[in-house]
Amino acid sequence: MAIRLDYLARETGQNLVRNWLLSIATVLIVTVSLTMLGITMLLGYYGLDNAFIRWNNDVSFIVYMNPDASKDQIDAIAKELDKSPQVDSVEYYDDKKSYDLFKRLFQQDNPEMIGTLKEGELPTSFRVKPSNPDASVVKEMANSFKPKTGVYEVSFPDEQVRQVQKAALKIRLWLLLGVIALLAASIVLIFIAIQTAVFSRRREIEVMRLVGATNWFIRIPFIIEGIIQGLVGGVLATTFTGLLGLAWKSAGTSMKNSLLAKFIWTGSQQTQTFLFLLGIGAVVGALGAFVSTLWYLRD
Amino acid sequence: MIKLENVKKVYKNEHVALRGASVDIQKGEFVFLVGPSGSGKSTFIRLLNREELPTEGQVWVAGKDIASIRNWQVPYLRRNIGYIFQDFKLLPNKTVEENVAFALEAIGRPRQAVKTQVPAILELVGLAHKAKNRPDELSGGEQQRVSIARAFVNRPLILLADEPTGNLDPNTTIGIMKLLDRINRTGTTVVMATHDRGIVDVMRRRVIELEAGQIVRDQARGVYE
Repeated sequence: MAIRLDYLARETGQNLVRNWLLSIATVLIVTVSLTMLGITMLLGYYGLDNAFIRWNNDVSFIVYMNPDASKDQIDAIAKELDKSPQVDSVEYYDDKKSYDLFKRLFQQDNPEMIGTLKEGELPTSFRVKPSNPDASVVKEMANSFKPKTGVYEVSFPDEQVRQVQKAALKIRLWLLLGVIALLAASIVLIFIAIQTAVFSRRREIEVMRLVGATNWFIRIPFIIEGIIQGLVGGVLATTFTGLLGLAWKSAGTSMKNSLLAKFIWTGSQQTQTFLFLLGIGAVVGALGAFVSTLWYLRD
Repeated sequence: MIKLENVKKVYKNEHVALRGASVDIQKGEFVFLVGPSGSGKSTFIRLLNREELPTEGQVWVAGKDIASIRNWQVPYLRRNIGYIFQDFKLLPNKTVEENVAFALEAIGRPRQAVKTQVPAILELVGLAHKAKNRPDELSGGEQQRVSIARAFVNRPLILLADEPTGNLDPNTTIGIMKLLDRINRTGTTVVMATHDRGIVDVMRRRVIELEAGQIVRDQARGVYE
């Protein structure tokens, strides 16, 4: 049925103004829920994803050479790694570099260990960064170097990768459940707010029904009210999420070497998140209001 | 216009409000429903407005069997029926003209129709000068006139009134009854539940008397008794 826009604007405006305190409370609750959802998306979804990809990209295996390996044997391995299309970059740790690293590793926690070994007594090594970060591919490639002449050992952090992958999937599952719970909470809150608005206008609704207004005619202003509350909550949540994101990124620059610093997201991912928050705000508002009026306007 | 055939209404608490009521009301009639409290008058009116459905029997209003129409069609049925309440049910935050306009807006009438019909109906009920007042600034009689204006602004075929003078003094009651009579003369069927012996006896219209859910008297130009 036809519904006049001026009527719609007036009724919706009156609802919002008349229940201004409840409207503000609803908007704030939606803002908090959506901000949490936004942060969850940026950090827990995109950030985690990006951190995981970075970690994968950093995955390397180390080919340790026998201390008595000949120069030819070392050169052969170096040549093979250089030629391999599966290798992104290779760094050779000669006697000096290996000893420097050894000193760096033990200087702080175990300085007495440093005196036990001299330069030239540590195996030299190739630190390999593969072009394909897939753990199984890396493992297969790493294992292919084990039987080569002059190779002492190939070290491959597959267990760590597996654990990180498992942890990431678990975290995502929990985050997904958290997001669902937050959205459900937002719907319930809007449901309650609209229910209260409907209750405060029950006399008008009773009159409207008796004079022949259709349920949709009665329902639409409440749905618009819910959408407005959801959208305003979405806009505020977008602002807060953006500010918190900025704070996170600036904090991240001061902890460059931490894994947390790798929890970053791109501009387009942020835009997607903001649009998603606005969309979810509107949908949650409409859904909460619809369910609320459905219950009240049942025949 | 209105027809009840062996209508029985039993509420969920097993209270029997109507027992085999049959009645035929023609277009343009003015009918008083009388009887003691709990005799079934309000149930009779609620059935006509399809606020209730009969447990047994059939109710036809404006040519439609109310039990067979779908829920979404009910608002369209109600647009043929005006409803006047004992407690007026005016919206306190709206002015007189807004209260009346509300009935037209709620059924999606265009703004132009609202603009012309509202002043006309307020003129009819004698409240044009109070168009900008709020209900709490009016007397009981004036509030009931607003209620009548709201019920009649859409020019319904049927006007249902449930004890419309129950809260009014005798002088005000006369004014309201004159107004309802005037509306009835336009061809609108009026069904009014009342306890007011005086107005029934003075107006001498059709009287349907209910007792314990049964029609015990149906008398043209009747009195209260």
